[in-house]
Amino acid sequence: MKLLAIETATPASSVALGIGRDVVASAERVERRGHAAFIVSALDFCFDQVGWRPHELDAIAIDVGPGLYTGIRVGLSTAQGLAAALGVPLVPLSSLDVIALHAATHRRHVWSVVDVRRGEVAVASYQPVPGGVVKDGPPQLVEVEQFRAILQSDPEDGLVVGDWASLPEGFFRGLHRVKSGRPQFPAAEAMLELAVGRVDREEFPHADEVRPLYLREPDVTINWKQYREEGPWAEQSPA
Amino acid sequence: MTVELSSNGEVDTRAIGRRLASFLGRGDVVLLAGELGAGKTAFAGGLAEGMGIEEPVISPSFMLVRRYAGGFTPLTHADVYRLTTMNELEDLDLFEEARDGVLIVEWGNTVASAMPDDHLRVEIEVTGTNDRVVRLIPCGAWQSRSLKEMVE
Ligand SMILES: Nc1ncnc2c1ncn2[C@@H]1O[C@H](COP(=O)(O)OP(=O)(O)OP(=O)(O)O)[C@@H](O)[C@H]1O
Ligand SMILES: [Mg+2]
Repeated sequence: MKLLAIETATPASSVALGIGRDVVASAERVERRGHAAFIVSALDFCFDQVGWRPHELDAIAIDVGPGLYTGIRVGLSTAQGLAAALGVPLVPLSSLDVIALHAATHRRHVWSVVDVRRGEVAVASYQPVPGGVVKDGPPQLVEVEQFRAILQSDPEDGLVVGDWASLPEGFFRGLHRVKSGRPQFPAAEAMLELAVGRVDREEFPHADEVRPLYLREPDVTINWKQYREEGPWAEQSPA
Repeated sequence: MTVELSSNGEVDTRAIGRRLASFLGRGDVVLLAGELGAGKTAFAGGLAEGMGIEEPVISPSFMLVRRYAGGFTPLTHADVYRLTTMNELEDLDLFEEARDGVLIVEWGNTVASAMPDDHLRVEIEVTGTNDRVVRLIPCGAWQSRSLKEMVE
């Protein structure tokens, strides 16, 4: 099975090609901006490396978040476009799951965290099991302080993986049972591993139905009426 | 302390923007308020000049966001007029874009709830064909910053 994995949900973008879960080419970089330019050149680079053509792919895995809005959008639209053009399955994965997969657990309760800014983080927790981790429940969006309280009240020894470096200074002070560790970001290479199983079990939605996983509140409408009604230019379109 | 300045033409509005540049640094957010054609883009253009950006600033209305990296500090200039929802605003990733510099947002008052509490609000009121009153209103932590030198 020839797989492509695209990860642009966090500041560390990466692309990987794999035969099953075995990586045959990958490219990555850490930068908050310019996901679009990265993806195009990274795809070219990876396909060149192994001499594959896109139509040889059997499935595409995409990180749908939580994470950076622009990154997720760029990655998802690229992946969706490719999947549609090639007629192959698109497997959506969560950044938190991808991070947690390779946590060096040491039998600790794993907390996977992604920075979504505005003082909030996306988190999910996982139990260590032989050969991997099992998620406790759906991911949550919590304020940083709330996350700290959750960790504090966790009776188990915890391991925080993911973007903990973005947490405020002193966050871990006093959290004696909690350690922080790697990986810091989700990697396309790890996505291959998760995707293989999903493809085998045919656990994926229709490519058009794949949506970003933002976790944010339902949409708030901007009250333009209030602003546009007054003034002599009210009916005009902006210059 | 609100600073109120009068402008009798586009040149004046640009000059106010230019002068404000020396008060701004990395991480600062300026929200522009004022009706269509009030002079928000003109003000942003003046600010860019003051920041040492040589590229002319044009209305980002269609692009929504433009970034100018040629000055002392990068300037991110956004216009949210075409947005209808807050999620679209999120997608612009403005704070990510502007983290390393100054962010100025036209119609920023309409999305203030999604903006940092600490910002400078600039209101441009149209008082005549070429007359404007420009108000610099510090919000949040901006209140402890002095804008006295803005008044000549
Ligand atoms: N005192 C003034 N200050 C600024 N602009 C002025 C002034 N007097 C007249 N003008 C004119 O008003 C217009 C202001 O245009 P500008 O694009 O800067 O407005 P804006 O507030 O950005 O509008 P929009 O809401 O469409 O983005 C220009 O044509 C300018 O020449
Ligand atoms: Mg304008």
